[in-house]
Amino acid sequence: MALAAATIIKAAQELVPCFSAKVIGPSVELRLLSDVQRDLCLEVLQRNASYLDSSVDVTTLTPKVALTLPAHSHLLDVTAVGTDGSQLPVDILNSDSRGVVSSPRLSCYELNQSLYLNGEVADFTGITKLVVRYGASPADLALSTDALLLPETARPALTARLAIAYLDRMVASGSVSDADVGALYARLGARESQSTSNYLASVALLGVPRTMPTVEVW
Amino acid sequence: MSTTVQQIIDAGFAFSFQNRPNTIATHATELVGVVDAKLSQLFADVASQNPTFFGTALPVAFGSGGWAIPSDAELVWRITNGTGAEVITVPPEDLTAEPLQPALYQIGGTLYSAGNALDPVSGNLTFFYSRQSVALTALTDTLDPLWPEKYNRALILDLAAYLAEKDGRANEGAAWRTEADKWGAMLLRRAEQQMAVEVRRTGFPRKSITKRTVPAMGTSKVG
Repeated sequence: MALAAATIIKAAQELVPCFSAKVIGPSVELRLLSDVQRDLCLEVLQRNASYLDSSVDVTTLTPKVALTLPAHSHLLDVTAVGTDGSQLPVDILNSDSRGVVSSPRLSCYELNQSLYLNGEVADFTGITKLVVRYGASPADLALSTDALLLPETARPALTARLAIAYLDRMVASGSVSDADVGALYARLGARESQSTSNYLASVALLGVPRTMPTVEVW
Repeated sequence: MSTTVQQIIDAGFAFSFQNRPNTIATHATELVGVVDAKLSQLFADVASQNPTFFGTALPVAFGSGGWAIPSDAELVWRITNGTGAEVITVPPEDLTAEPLQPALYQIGGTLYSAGNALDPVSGNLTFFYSRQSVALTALTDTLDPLWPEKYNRALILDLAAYLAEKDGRANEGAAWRTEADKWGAMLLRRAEQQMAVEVRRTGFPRKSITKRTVPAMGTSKVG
């Protein structure tokens, strides 16, 4: 089930007893949560590049034309699907090396968040679509009902980080002083550290095969 | 409340045998003003401590392009629209400060729509506010109906201090003023702590007009 922004916002407010909606309105809350999620996504990708994978079908198979992709942090892989259902891997070249022809394999490269196909139109004869798998990038949250990109397991880490962001803003606005909330800062910091550590550990584990092929050593 | 201004003045004179009624000060104008000023000050002080203590609610109709802030409002602490949703105010120089909530901005004594999609443009708005005391203008006027008479001594002692000071009895005046301040402080304490059963999701079980939400006089730390 998608994690709604309102869930994190409400939980974070409850972690900060001095929270005041007069100081931090809904728009600011959503902007803070957007930033918190973006930061955590970047940490997630450092542990597991395929954790936030998503895919999109590209049916415009014209080489050297910019094919717009959804917001993403990086490409994972590209697969060409033939009319008979067969699947062929497509090489992803560095954009600096796009002149290199990897024929007979199909290839593509990314430039300015768009995908470009290498080769000629004829190279894609018999191909119905490309399936582009990528690491998704979170969009800015506009409403409290918006769904987060990160899953339920990220809730404690997101909540603690947002609570600290609230506290930062309240101190900056002068509504509370550093001295008043020093103990709360320390507690939230410890909670955030623990929650983030737990979450990132689960991120790193996800996708690790439980069984390994037998390897005989001679 | 049935206490009249005359009764407060009479009690104030009784604090010293040196007081000479109708000699030191004019009862009908000067001393009525003294009582009114002290009462107004206490209402304002209580508003800053607990805006609901002398609170009231009043529907205000849209007119002349905006909503007039009730003239007796000392501190507006909530505004709602016809559906009961909270309406906030934003600074006139930042009208898009909070586009996710119905918003108004203030110029003079009037609130105007901030011009965003959710902002009200017509209809009634209900103002919840801590009001000022009903003005006292005559000896026969009774004190504000919301005024707790237990604290009449704050008014009486303040008047006694005024009379003593005006009569050149500075030490006596200072003594009465100290006593008056004690009663004023007791009233503020009551306003602060009267409703201790309130459950809050955030914030502290007391009201504050300022954006400093940690109790200014408290000794405990947050956390």
